[in-house]
Amino acid sequence: MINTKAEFLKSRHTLAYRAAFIAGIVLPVLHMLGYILKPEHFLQDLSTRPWEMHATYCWKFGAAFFPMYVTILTSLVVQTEFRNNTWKMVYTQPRSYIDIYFSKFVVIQLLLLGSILLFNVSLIVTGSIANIFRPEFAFFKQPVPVGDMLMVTARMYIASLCITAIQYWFSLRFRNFITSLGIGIGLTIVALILLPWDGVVYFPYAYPILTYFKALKVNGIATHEWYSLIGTAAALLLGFWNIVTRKERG
Amino acid sequence: MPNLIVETQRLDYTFRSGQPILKQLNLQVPAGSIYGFLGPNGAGKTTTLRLILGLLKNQKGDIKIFGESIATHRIPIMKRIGSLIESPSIYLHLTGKENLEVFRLSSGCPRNRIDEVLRVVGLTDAAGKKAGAYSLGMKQRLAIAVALLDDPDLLVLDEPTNGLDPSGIIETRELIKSLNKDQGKTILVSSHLLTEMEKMATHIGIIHKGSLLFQGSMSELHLLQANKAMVTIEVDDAKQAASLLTGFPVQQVNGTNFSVRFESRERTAELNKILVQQGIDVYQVSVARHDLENLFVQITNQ
Repeated sequence: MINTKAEFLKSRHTLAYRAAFIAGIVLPVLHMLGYILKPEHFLQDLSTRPWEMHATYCWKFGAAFFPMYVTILTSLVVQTEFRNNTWKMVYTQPRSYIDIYFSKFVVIQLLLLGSILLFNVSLIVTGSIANIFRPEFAFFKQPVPVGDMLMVTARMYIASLCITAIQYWFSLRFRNFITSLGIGIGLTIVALILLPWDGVVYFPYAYPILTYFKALKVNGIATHEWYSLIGTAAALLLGFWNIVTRKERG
Repeated sequence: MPNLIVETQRLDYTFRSGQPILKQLNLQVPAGSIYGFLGPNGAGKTTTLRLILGLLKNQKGDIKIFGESIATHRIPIMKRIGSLIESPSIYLHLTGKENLEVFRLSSGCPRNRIDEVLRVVGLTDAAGKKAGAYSLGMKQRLAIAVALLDDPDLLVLDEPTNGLDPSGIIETRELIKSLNKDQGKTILVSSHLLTEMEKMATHIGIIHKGSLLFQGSMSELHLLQANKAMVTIEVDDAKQAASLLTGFPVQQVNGTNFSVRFESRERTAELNKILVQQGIDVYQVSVARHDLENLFVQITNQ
């Protein structure tokens, strides 16, 4: 029913693809270089709880930049149509509006999931490489905590879902890439300011940070993560309604 | 009444600023025609085509394509239309072939169509090159290939020769003609160049400031053209000559020249005979046929 394959083909060789790939590897690789070049700074952590600490170092930055990354990725995928002036072609194909709207959203989600999974693989690979150069680390002595890593991944994904849905709407709505990007980055900064406030659980752009820094110990799904799921559904439906009822397309 | 592929009835469209763009437009595109939709820039051509394709929401009036309304039958109608609106819209980061594959996946037509349409537009050799490296003519041809992919019954082409060099214009024109003649496709093509349309269209619609000023077959347009032709006569005394020609539609008299609306060759000869018999010196009799260009200016100036 929805044509994800065509949408995927479109994003091949685009900046969105490269951004997803780079985002997946950059933090683990940079940290690996740090471990190899300055092993003394990390020796204590990496010889006792290597996998956990390696993941923590990387995710700390990752979680802080997550809303921004999601914003950029979403804008880049949608921008392909604006830049090539191809929306009018998309809307004159024999495709339903549901297909047009959701297939692209699915592509964004798959790219996002792909890059978080790549991030996990990179954690394992870079930890192992660091250990080859620095045998004093304990990466090879301890099992990879795959279960914990996947749990963090799944929850970070849920926490970011609402931002992708909102940003998706903005990216479709505003022809200019800078507008949706600016709104996304602006709202992320607002989220950082609002962090100390209780009401921040109603502010989607704070959710990845809340999940990683505050709610990781919560068993199951935290309250704001439920809100993220509800917000996703609401933003997708509102966005769809807005796009379908627009007077001008392409 | 011929079988109409596209029919609009009393189509109105107003921009958000309140500026009317289309006024009571009744467009009728017969099956099997090359319908040249002609008008100066800003006349409302693109707006009309975008309305027909459902890219603009219809405000007032009716649009029927293949006898159905686009509002209720968008997908089945789109399945039978190939279109090219304004500048070619293709994915510049993909190769020609990948572009076609994207749209093939959307329409679900068989894979061998890709090679077929590449051959039709003459891009087989450049199929593996990135579309961003194509010349404007090649991009335009690729966009036409995309439009042809699902073997549509109706092609809607908005200014397909815009920005092309002379050989590109000729190639595109020949392609349009052969698609119509050999494959029986109905083609609705817009342009602001009358000479271009004269060379390929079977039907013409002339739009100006949102109103359709003329619509009919090419022969009807030629008839109109003949009706607007003038006979100019140079004599020694134009005033006297004009007074002798009762029964002729004399229009302008000035000095030694006067003009009469052209009726037929025989009438022109008769006119000359009368003047000579009445002792008027006739220096020159010429029939000024308006070419379509002048006719166009005349129609749009009305």
